[in-house]
Amino acid sequence: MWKTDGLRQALDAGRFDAAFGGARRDEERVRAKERIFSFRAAGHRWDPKRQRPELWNLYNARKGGEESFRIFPLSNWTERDVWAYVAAEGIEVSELYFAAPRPTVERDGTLLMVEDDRLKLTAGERVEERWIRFRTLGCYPLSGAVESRATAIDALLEEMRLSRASERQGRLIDRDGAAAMERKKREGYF
Amino acid sequence: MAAEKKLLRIVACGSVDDGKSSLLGRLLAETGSAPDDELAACEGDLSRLFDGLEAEREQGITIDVAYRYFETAAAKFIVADAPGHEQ
Repeated sequence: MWKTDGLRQALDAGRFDAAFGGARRDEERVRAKERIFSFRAAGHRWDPKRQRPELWNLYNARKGGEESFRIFPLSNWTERDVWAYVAAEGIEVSELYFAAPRPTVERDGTLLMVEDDRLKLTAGERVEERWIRFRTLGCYPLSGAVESRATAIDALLEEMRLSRASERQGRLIDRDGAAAMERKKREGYF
Repeated sequence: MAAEKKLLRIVACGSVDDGKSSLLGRLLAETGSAPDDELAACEGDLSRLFDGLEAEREQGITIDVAYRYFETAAAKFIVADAPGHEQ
């Protein structure tokens, strides 16, 4: 909700013509369709049939009054590129991206971190400590963790090289039907 | 950083139903560049690694260009799957 309705309200309140985002095409197959200058119609609606050609590094920023853009400069980066850049520039990131023993519950095949009493356990669920980390972080508790022993960036990069799971596999909101991401983007999600 | 590898850009061109998406999907699968969960979601139709829109899956065509990425020990690749029809 916050990344769709809340975002739309904030962009309207500020009357912004464009908003920059860090989404990458490599994350998900609907995002693989995105332009770097993603045209949004009135109401922040994304329509893949109304996107514009992007030849070389030329971008068309012409827009009408109620229209806007979402701009994704990192479109062609991969997950490994991001971490290589973080390492090269010494950027501080959340500890949740690195493996540590954390209280965890497994629900429908997804590892959820039990941070506090916001997560209500259901019958048969048991909290246990596991070495986990997050490849992607979204709203709690909609981000699933992966089991990992990677406590530093070099180990993360090696783990990514060997992984057979997609980057957003732990995002529960992506599993809401085959067209979950497409539907959310049409509603104004990043 | 890894970006210092040679970068190769590949685009598939051809007419409608020539199999551009299927060819590039096969390329991703054979190079081990498609995650297992995405391969499972394809249900054997590798064109779906590129045709991510609902209308594309329903109609069996590519409506808009899609980009995928993979790398080998020697190079990084950006693969673009283009539609085969005039917009």
